[in-house]
Amino acid sequence: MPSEESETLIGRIMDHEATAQEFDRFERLAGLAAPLWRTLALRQLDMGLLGDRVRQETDAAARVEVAPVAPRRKLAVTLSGWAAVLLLASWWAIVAGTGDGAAERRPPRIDPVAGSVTQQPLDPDEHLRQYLAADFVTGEYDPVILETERLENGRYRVHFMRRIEVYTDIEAPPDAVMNAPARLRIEPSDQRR
Amino acid sequence: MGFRHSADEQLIERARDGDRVALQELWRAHRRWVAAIVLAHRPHFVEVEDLLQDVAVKFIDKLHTLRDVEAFRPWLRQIALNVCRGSARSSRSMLHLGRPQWENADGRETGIVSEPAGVTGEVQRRAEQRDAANRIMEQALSLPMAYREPLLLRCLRSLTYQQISEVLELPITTIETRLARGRRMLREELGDLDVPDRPKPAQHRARQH
Repeated sequence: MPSEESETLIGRIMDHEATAQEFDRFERLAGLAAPLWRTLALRQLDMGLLGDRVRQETDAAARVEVAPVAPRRKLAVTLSGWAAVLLLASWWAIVAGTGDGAAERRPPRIDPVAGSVTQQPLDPDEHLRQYLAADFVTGEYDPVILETERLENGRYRVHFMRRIEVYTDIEAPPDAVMNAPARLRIEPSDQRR
Repeated sequence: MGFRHSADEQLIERARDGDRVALQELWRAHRRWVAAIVLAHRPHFVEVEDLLQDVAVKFIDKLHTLRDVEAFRPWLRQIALNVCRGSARSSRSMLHLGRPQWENADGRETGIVSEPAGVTGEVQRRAEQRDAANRIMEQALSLPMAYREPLLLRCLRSLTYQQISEVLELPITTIETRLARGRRMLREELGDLDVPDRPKPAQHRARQH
């Protein structure tokens, strides 16, 4: 088994940290124990394969950006990703006409020909665009792919999760309205009324 | 990747003053090694990218709490550790984010024109390389943390011993020793694993539509 010194020298040579004197030292040691060359070769092979895998795994870093944010907010509560999705789904359900007063919440549309305001339901994408334009929405992170499936027609279906950051100002300290692990116990939209 | 002390300090100050461009630049300079820290500490059922998203959020939220700009790297590492520990403790159901399964039953990737019969050896060699790489990765992630972290950080070729020592707040000699021992332990665990030759980039041909 290589000595501690030999292992350290091998590491420094592999990591391009070795000085000329250390190269010479390793050559002298390997002259006395030829298997050291094989040890060096094996370490390089191992680190080559491991390095490729680690870089592959950390390639995800290139897809993670910091979302642009306003200066630090006081008493702001950031929703978890799942809570944001549930909030959006609840809001969509209400505005789509499943709750009381939904008609009043539908944004009116002006009919340019008739000159009158008509109540036309918005499609989901339009609803999302309006939601994202709201004052309490900070921004949206890159979507996260959950799974993919191949369809019979040869196309692929991609399931992904949207992550939308919103904020709400509350009277009570955050601890009073959150439970572990960082889940809100209040409906943020209630706090905005 | 930037371990540019004076440049980092300027970016940190500008970011804390609300400069969004500086904030993004600061994050981009360090996110790769933070991903390696996350890789070393994450629960198996959580993707690196998910945890890194959480780290990015906390990085923004807590940058104003950084007292000593020279301690930025260990401070950022601690955020990553806290995110990983929180993920492991979390009682909510974890969604396993799978990657698309592009492989057929025989392990070949779809989207690639089938290899002629005469080159099946090459296909088998690539499969063996992939298996060996996966096994080495698995062993590396099972090493004690004292050896796992410096090993994964060192796999990012742009990190020197000095930079790793700053992140881990350990002397350079300790980093060298832990790298040497970690690599030896890795080879001992792999035992008689027949490590194939260094893989070459695969030459994929697009499926004909």
